[in-house]
Amino acid sequence: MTRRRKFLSLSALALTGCLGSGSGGEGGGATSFENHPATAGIEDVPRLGEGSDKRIVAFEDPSCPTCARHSRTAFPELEEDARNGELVYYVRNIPVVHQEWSTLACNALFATYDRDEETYWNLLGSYYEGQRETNADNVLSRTGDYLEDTSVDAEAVVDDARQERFDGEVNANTSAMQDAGVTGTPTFYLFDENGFVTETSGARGYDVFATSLGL
Amino acid sequence: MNVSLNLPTRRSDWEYTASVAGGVVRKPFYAFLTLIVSFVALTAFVLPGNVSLVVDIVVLGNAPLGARLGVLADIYPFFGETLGVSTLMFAASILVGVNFSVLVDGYTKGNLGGAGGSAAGTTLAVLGGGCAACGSALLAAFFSTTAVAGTLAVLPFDGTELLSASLVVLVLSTYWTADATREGCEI
Repeated sequence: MTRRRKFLSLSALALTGCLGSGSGGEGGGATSFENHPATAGIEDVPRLGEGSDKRIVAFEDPSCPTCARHSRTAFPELEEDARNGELVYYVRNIPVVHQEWSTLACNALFATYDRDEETYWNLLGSYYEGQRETNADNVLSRTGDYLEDTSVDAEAVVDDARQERFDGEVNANTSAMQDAGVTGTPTFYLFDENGFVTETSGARGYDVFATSLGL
Repeated sequence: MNVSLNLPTRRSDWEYTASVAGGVVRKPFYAFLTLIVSFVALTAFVLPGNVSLVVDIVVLGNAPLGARLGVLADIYPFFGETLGVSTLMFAASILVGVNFSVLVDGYTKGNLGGAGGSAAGTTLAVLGGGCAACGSALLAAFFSTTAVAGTLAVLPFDGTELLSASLVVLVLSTYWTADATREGCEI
């Protein structure tokens, strides 16, 4: 039984090592949150919630349909957990699927987060809802129209996005994506008090996150 | 050189293909083989991007068995995917299983027609499955993240085009394999 378990563990380690999941840590332990490549520069990244050791770092693209599905399925419950202090949810926005409009959207998202954190989450949701109608020609006007009804200076955000003033932040997310080995969106890195727990891709159900992190 | 593609254009072609495939999968050994290969194919469609999840949580995790099985089920069609994508993935996996069994049966009779189509169809299905399930995980493994971005931009149905194309290729492959058997027997 012990031999079997040891074999299973070694096989699992070999498998994850071959596929570069990033779960291996220095000295045999799990990689700490601070040392994981997915968390490089995390202090500048939009986050929801605080005070919990249970953390999710999500790589999401505003133009990615699977990310939009995640925002409708698991995210509402994760958001509730974050607002209840049980979880910290970080979003690293990266332009992957429709780069021409997503790059502008990512800039607008950072520009909005810089001014008002709550509006950031609503704007991200609006991009997901309007994906089919959004393109490079109308993304800025749609962003402006949406922000008109908020406390954020819509014109300033649109101007920042047009000038791509937050390209540095967007590029930092892209670098973290490459260093962590992200190959698709959405991809989630899960951490608890001991460090890295696991990673998963696609629009997974809330139970996957809850079971993995003990929520 | 004149190259023509052998396509099932007549009703009798479809009937013959169905009778060959049906005859093969009705045999207990091939029925079992079809189920196993279909399950392996389905796993290949959904596993990319979630190997770490399966190993860390399902295999090595401390959660109750039921919860861990729930995590495993979530990555399979009809649990974690939309109905449309799930149906396409399920159909593609069954076709891979049937196609493989017909190929093996043909091989034992000295025919290898349709093997190329089978490989192409399975590859397309795996690419489409990964693409539809995880954004672009497997496409990225085949190309590069940048190339994937360009590829996805011209796939308006989020990669389900690849899954749909795989169904067509797998059906054609099954026809070619069946047709090779027919040609081998004709005098």
